[in-house]
Amino acid sequence: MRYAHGPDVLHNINLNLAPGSFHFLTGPSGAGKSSLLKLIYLAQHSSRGEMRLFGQDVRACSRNQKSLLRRRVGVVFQEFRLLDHLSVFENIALPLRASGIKRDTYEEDVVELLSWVGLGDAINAYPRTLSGGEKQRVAIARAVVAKPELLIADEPTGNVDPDMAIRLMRLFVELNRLGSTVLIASHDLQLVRASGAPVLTINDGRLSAPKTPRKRAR
Amino acid sequence: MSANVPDPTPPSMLPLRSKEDGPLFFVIAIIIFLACISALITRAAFVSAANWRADLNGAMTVQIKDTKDRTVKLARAEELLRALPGVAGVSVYNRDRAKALLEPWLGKGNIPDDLPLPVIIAVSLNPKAPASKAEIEISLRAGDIRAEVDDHRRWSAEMNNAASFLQVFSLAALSLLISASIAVTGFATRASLAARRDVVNTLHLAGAFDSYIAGQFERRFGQMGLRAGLMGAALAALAVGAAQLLSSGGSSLLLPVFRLDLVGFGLLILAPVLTAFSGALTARLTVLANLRERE
Ligand SMILES: Nc1ncnc2c1ncn2[C@@H]1O[C@H](COP(=O)(O)OP(=O)(O)OP(=O)(O)O)[C@@H](O)[C@H]1O
Ligand SMILES: [Mg+2]
Repeated sequence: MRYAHGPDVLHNINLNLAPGSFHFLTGPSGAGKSSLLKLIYLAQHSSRGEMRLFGQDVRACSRNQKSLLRRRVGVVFQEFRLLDHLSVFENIALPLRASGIKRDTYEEDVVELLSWVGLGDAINAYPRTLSGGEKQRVAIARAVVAKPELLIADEPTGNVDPDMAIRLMRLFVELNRLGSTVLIASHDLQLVRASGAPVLTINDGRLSAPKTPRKRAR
Repeated sequence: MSANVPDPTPPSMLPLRSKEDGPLFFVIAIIIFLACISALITRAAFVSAANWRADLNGAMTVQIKDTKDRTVKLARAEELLRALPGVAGVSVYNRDRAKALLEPWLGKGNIPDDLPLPVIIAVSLNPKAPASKAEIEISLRAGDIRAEVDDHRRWSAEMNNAASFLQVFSLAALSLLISASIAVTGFATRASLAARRDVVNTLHLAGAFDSYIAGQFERRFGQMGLRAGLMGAALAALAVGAAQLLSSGGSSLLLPVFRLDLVGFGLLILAPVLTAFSGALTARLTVLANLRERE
């Protein structure tokens, strides 16, 4: 995979994440973690090779079919990507709204999720007024709100204190227990080791085999 | 303030206001103002041209050349003309009427009795079966009247040219203005899209269909088009009203432009609707093309 006309940033990736699995992805800065995740959540496409998501060949998908696939994937972006003009509630509800779901059916869930990530009082606040860690929690809530089959998180605990990091990690574990496949890119080796989940390591665009193998998708 | 109740959902995913939209609103309003005026002129051009043609083609002028027994000959000519089936009406400009026309210029009583005033009969023709120039000439000659019949043919040709030119010119101006407003909306949509790349990206990655994202912009620009169009049309109506006041009484050549009849009014109502529609459509197509381009 490459960006525009730049050099290849990922080489010979062969990865299969099994449904219901939980993986960490580590590697030095610039190694290509975010790039690999972008491939998986369909923000970029590979310059060659094959890619399957939920059993479907992505290259053969129409634009609308890809949109439908994206709805089954929740993403926590490294740079959050919250919309400044929407309230915290609206930011979190965005994937639901964009999928055409009526507000009545999700309002309570969103409110509950907000209190879970400790932002019950910020429901009508705007992202500009939030701290980095608070924004990160909003981004996480938005990623999990639609109960995605695949959750992808890029440094989801980079801006929060260790206690909150553990709490958020529990949210991911909980989601995984309900059946979601989870892939988390993280620098936080302590957190990664503590979880006991298999770890994928990427170095200079090359992926090494997971330490505790189990797999699927991509 | 209850902390745990979310505010109502905003209708659009796009920011309510943005600094890019202000100038665009005025540019569109101004273009629509000009387009409205231009549309009214175009219509006036067509109406005037049709009137001129009808007036010129539906009328002839007969000038009595006899100097002896003028009154008698005039009366006889009038009678003969009236008797023709191709003639709808006759109006005689005899000495008294001609004098009355001149009095404002020369002053009452200042017109000497021996001043040779032309004696003219204005003949309006039956629009269904107009009498020909030859028919009228023959009929007058038969009554022993020396007269000159003018069917305005020379005039007609010139007027027809002028009218056609006015029609083509005003239509061209109108189409230029309409294309300009479409181009401006397209350009502005692209700028607005660039300014809201974050919204588009986030919606796209959240799995929104292209049509949903396009719909957000479509509504926004449709509404703006409607508001700007209303503003432009209202300004045009004001301008027409002001011109009407200023030219009240005097029958100026421009009068048909500044007389708002039902059709003119209809044009002013139609303008904002068309602007809204074209704004929405341009926005939709631009966004869809832009989304497809990025992959
Ligand atoms: N949008 C982009 N355009 C061009 N090159 C990019 C872009 N994003 C990343 N790269 C390049 O791709 C390579 C991998 O970057 P990537 O963001 O995937 O690294 P990373 O492992 O996520 O790093 P970090 O831990 O700092 O987040 C880097 O060399 C980077 O310069
Ligand atoms: Mg990264």
